[in-house]
Amino acid sequence: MKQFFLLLLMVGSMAFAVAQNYTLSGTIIDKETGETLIGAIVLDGNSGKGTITNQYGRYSLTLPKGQVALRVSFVGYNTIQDTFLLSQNRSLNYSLVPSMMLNAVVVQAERPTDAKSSQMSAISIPVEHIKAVPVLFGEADVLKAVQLMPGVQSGSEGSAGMYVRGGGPDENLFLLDGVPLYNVNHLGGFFSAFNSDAVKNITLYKGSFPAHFGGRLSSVLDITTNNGNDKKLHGGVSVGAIATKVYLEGPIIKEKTTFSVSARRTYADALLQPFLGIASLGTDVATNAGYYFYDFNAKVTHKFNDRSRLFVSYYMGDDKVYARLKTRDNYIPIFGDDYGNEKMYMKLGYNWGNLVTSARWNYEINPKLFMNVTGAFTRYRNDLAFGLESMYTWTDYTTGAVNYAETKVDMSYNSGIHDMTGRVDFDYNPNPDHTVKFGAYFIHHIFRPEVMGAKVEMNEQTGFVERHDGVDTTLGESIIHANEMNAYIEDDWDITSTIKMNVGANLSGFAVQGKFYPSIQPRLSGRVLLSDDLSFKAGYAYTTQYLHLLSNSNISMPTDLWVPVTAKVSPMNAHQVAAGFFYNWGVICDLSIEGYFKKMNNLMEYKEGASFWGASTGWEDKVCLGEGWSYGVEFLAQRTVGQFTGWIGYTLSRADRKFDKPGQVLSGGERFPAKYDRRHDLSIVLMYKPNDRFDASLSWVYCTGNSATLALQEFESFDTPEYTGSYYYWDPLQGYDHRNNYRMPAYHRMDASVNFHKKLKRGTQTWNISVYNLYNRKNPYIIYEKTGTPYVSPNGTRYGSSLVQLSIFPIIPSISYSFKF
Amino acid sequence: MKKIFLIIFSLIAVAFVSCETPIDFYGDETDSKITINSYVHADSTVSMHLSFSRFFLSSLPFQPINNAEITLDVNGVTQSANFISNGDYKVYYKPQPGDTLTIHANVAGHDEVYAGTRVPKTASVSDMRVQEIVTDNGYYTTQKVKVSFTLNDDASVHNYYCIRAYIVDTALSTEITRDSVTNMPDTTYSKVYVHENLSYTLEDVLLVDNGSGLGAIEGAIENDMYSYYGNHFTFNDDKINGRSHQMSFEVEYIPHGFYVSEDSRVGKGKNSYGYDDDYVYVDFQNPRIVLEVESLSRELYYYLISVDKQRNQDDLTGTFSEPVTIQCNVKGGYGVFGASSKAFFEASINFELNKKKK
Repeated sequence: MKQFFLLLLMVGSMAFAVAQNYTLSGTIIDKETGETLIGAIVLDGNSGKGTITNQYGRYSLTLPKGQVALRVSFVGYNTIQDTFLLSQNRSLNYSLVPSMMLNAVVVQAERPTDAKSSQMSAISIPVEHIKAVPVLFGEADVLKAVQLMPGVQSGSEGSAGMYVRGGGPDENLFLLDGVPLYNVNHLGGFFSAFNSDAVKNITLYKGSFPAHFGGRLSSVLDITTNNGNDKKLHGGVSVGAIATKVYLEGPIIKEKTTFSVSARRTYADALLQPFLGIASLGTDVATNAGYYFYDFNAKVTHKFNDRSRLFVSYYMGDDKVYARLKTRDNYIPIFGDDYGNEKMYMKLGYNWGNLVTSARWNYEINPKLFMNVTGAFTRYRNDLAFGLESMYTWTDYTTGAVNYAETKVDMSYNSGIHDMTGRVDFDYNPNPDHTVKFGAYFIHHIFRPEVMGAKVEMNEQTGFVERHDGVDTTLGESIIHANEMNAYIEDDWDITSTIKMNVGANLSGFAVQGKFYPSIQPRLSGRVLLSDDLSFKAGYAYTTQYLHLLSNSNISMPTDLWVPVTAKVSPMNAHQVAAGFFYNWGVICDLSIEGYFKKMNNLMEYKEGASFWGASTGWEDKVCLGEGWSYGVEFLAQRTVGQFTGWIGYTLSRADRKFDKPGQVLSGGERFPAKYDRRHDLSIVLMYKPNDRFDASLSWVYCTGNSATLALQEFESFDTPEYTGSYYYWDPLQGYDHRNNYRMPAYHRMDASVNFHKKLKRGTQTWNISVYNLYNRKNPYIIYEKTGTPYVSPNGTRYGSSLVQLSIFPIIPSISYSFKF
Repeated sequence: MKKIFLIIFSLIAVAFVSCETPIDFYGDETDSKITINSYVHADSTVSMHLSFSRFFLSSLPFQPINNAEITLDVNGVTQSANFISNGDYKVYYKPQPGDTLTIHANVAGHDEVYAGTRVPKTASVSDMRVQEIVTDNGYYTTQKVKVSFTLNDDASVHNYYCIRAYIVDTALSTEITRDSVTNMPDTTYSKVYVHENLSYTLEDVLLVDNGSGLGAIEGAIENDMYSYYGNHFTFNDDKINGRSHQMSFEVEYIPHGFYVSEDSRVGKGKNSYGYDDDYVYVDFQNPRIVLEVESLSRELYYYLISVDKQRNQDDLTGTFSEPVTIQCNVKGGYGVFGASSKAFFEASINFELNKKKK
């Protein structure tokens, strides 16, 4: 560790030891929209030194005094060449013009997988790719596109869950404009919470995390949203099979203040209403039920001057399930001539979702030092409410007395997190050989893991006697306050012309329930350039995570419970090493092959037999902690230039778990495959865009079947003397060799999508036709034993039960229409 | 527009049509294993039941093993088991607390299976007290018996307990002797069990603190430690090791009398409709509450806990619960070979309300 800090010190001192240089700084933007360009290259042809723009489109390049031949480029845009004499610090902003020739193709400039970058295990995914990938219901989805990358696995069929390099779905840090988001799924995980219309840039880090990222073990998905066009008003509307989206962006004050808003809402509930009405005709019950989700993004950007900008972002997304059931007046005969009237009203409401609001202020302190200050508030909630009112009245015709019995039940389940974040980040470019990032953040978390409320009220009047009784109780109302703090420093260092290294450390701490968990997380990744196009990269990252997601279903459920590290539950941590070769094969494609090994500690699982539904104990009593291993090889061939683009990704991997601590034993303490351990995972994505009027895409995925736990043997048991006092043989017990002991059939699916674009007088319309699961493969969603359905095995043995699979998505064609102006 | 809505609705409808398809079972159809079920009671002959496990898709009944060669090693001395019938075997030896037992079973065509256990010492209980509680909430009267006692845990060994309570009455025959039923002690009380759903309210914050006092992770006891389904409460001594621990619980009391099978009743009676019946209603004569404190061997404890968990999963259906591995100690097979010893304590109950007016 000492040596590591010595190295950091050397890096810092070298950075300050450079003299007789001047610094160029500024912002690179799209000339048509004014959007800042992330990852644009700024290169001096004379010295060969260069840099790339940060996530705010800013660059800083310190060069020796003298003639400069600056080249500013970003793939998909015309390159700007600028020659001048550098004799003082200068602020130079450049506006790049989209290239008409390249406009037809989807390309990117700076790719973390690029052979020359020191970053490894990272992928930048162009938004155009995301919009082009064919998906379920034709609804462009950020996470579905990310799932097609090597090293990333989806959960169950159609799910937007992400399992990166053998990690769990809670081990991914989703940053929306730099602010963490908790629930990133809608509709049980079939759709992600990110509206692709609002997104500008997406980068996925699967390992070798730069030190400025912290808080999760397995991946970081860094999403930046659009600032908004600062020249003129633009917008669009899209009507799809399941949702409608709108977006609008433009200047509030031209070239100074912009806005961008987008919204999406599903309408399955609206379509359902007429059918519910028809279904309840002629019955005593009026029903109103439905489900929908929505999300809303808004962002306002204000440029005070070239050195100072303010961004205010807002995101809100919710899923809502509701049901109301009301009986009509229902007169029922009771004793003798008496008649009673029975009424019942039931309501169910279930809401879950995020709210994120943030304000960021960029300020260029000097040409070499750039600062960003962020204040953010995040709210995640998961609220269930159930109410029942029943009123029964009857008249005693003998006495004329009106009697009644009334019951009111209100039950609720609430869970959620409130985060308040303060953060400051600095980019320091002392010279072209060093790009230093440092900063710190503080998050105050308020966790409300489980609060259950139950209120029961009973009122009764019989004759002249009134009785009232009831219960009003709240369980588990234990709010947990926690403080998370983090500081980091990293340097992207060109050591020689062939060796580049990113070295840094992330220091974090978590204070909860009187206990403090510190963590020093070294990060290191390096590149050796073997030729102009070929490099070898290797990296190491130690990561710590202070949050857990308790989940025991195969799909992303709103019941998945975010819980913090506590005085009893220790933080998760992971060591990951990765190494690989990267080759830029001209304009043909980029190739990479990467191997990784990851060891994870204190992973959390539900105990055997436990689930969210059990209310007998608190969540801490239902969980156990264990270890995990994952290792594998990833291959990626990606073409981003030309009419044909796309990629082929393949992953060979293995992920295991072991829970063997006393009292926390799972699967007999033996090592068992993780829930989403898959040996093979292949994805092929092809996109074709010959002109501005038409484009098409095709994707095919194949992966080893998900694992499932099947009790392959049943055996007799005796039971304890509970009810009758006799010891007797009861139902058979189920014998598991180990958890996840059975493989479902392999999963494969082909999707296709075509877009027809037409320029109209006021904009462009697009018809999209998508087909999900083109050859109608019946992929297993879950498998289970079905009794009473005989099965003859391949060896001729006849069994009384059979194994069946449930497939949920057959071939699904969809059509959507969108209009942009 | 109509067509558009028709198309949209059709697409949504198609999307949510689920499809259930029988699939082949890929993999080895695992061979049946020998299952041993033997609940050894101190001072009772050792009995066991052997059967074959079955492939999970099979709906055939379990096949009892009638041709097994079974030996029981007691403190180094080997004895053979006698076949009784239908997979049941007995060794006519009555183990004592402290005995170490190992069973070996050989069945033609199968590998030998074996298991070992140690008969635990009888639990030490003192200061048993009974308090009768009558409550009236305006609707009905509830009668409860609160039983308090001190459990004196032996620090020198790791102990596992199961406590239960029941009511006995002189109207019942006090003992039943069974000869052919396996997994039962030779002699048991004929008892009226308290109602399953109203059975225990254990007032023991140390053992049944469902909040956060239990030490879920470090204490390593939580769900593995206790279960109180039905009429028993199973726990270990992780939190009370070597201490004299005060315990108390409340038992709902069935007033007046009880239904009981004819063979365990003293005398003959009629059912509530006035007819002779197998099950008859009997008035209490001299009801007593019995506290049974059973010491379990480690193997039996983990087996029983896991059986409870597999059968009583959190969400009832098991759909969302994690699978539960049964903690078998039979090497090469399934089942359990475990031992227990019991201590009984009695106290009279004298509710005035219980006395049926004649």
